[in-house]
Amino acid sequence: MISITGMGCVTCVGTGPDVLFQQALNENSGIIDGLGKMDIQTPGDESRAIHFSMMSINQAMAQAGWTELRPDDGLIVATTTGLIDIWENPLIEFLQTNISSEEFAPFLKIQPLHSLTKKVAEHLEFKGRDMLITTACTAATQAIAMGSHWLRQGLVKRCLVGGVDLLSKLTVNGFRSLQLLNPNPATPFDVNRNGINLAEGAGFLCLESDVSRPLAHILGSGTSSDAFHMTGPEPEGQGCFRAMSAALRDAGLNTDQIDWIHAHGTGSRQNDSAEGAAIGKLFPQVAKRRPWVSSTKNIHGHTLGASGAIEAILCVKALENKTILKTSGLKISDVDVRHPDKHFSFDLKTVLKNTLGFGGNNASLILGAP
Amino acid sequence: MKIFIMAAETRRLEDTLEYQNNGQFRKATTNMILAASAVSALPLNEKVKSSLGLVVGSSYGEIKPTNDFLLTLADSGLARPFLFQSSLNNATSGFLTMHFGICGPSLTVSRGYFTGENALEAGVLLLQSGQADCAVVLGVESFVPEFDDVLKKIYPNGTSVVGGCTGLLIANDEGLKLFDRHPIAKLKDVKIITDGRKKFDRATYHDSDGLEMLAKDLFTGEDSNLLQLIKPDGTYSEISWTK
Repeated sequence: MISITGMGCVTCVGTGPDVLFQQALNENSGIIDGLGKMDIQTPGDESRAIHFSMMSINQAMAQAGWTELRPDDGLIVATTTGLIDIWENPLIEFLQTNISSEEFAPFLKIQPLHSLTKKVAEHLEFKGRDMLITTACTAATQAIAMGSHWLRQGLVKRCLVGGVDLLSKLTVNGFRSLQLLNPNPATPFDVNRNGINLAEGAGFLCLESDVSRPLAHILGSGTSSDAFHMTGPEPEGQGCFRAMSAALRDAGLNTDQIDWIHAHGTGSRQNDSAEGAAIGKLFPQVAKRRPWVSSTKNIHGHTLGASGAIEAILCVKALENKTILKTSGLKISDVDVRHPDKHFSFDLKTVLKNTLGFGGNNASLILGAP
Repeated sequence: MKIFIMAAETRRLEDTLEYQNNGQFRKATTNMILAASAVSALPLNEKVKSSLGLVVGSSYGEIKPTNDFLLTLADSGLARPFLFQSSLNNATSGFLTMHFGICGPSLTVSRGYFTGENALEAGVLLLQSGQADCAVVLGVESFVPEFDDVLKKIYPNGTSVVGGCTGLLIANDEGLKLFDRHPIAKLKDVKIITDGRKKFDRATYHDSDGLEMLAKDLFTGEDSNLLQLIKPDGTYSEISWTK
């Protein structure tokens, strides 16, 4: 059994899993002017991505009781843009021929995404097995799934997994060009939705097998590809359906054993519609028991490559507190799923966490109470 | 579980002229063209595609669309959606799933000098964990001429590589049954060694070239092999296989 033994995060609503969960309960959104920025100073010229990662990692390792990352442990980091806060402006300056090749060389050297993992490993003095996954918005979910596979295969003794992403000129203007950004806190699944909120954040989890006091278990995972479009999901949600089905098979569970689905639920029409169709097909109205479905992106925004880790942390807190969260901002849904209209206490045993990403990636994770 | 190498294909930019002149690929990035050219030569029948995963390894990712997006934005204030979607590091993976109809698991990894070897490790894990029975594993990199001088400063001993891609098709025991051909080799092990150092006498700044070296050695006729790839910083990898 693969278990989560420690968690840490920083998001636009504050630092730490307890704060994140409390802000979700209180429906305090960290979105300002449509974006979830983090007002945290970094020491010296260190990348904010490294700083946020290390803040999260230190929380997670302290909770798990890990004093170090050993050579037979593993490290998996997810991101879409890595150390972009360091290299983005110098790249523009170089392309505009304002700085020389010599001046730009140190910045190009850290542009490969693995530089992020390398820096994190240096902070931890870690020389064991590591990996950087960059699969758009599914990256951190894939990192958690990969970490649990590494443990199952006996490739590592313990595994630190998570993700980080920052707001940047590339991502903010890129999503704006796709006309996906909402100037107000997003309202996922609502008939009057108006787009997504980009946000920055980091989340990391400590994974171990066969431990005595876990926070939660990773029961299964599944991934798939849409093979349909670069930025839009397949409209009927077939890819998301396959990922959820694969996760159920991996976990050895039936559909009526899922209590709650923490949806990707970005607040974009295409995502909500495809994901809603996939959930509606796998958990139809005629089913004996339909799981509750919510999104919490109205609170913490969409943290892209980090979202799977941050939202998995929120799911573990929900399991711990035996509470199902509602979708803040949702008034009238236009998808055929079962939404809670308020937060409520529930004997929560299983949560299915979905993520869908550009490039047609889908990843689902099933978490279980200890 | 046994892991078989069913096929290996390498492409350099000069090998892809037919793709560069094909209207269907006019919006494709260099990495997409290189990768599509390599994958199209792999024996992907419909049975194989039904249980196929994809792992793309790229250290620098999509350099040209990233540069073009940021420069256009800085010069004119215009954010071009097509350049943005192509700038994502998993854009090549997304393109390949669409072009070849791959609906299984897909992921993109980046690991500096060891990117090719890391992609191969991830592909093997897809098969060992039962997520797929066959996997396409790619290492792909491409650069832009304006970076030539910068790269020479970063890798003074490097050999200039404009663009290259190597694709392997691997299978587990179940996957092997889906082919009407024999495997080239049986993969024994992939090791990335970052806590040791070896002397190196050649270097390249094509970070995904581990798979290209493997593909070359697979066809040299040796019966049993250990490929040792020493990286510019002295760290190294070892890939072993039998024919």
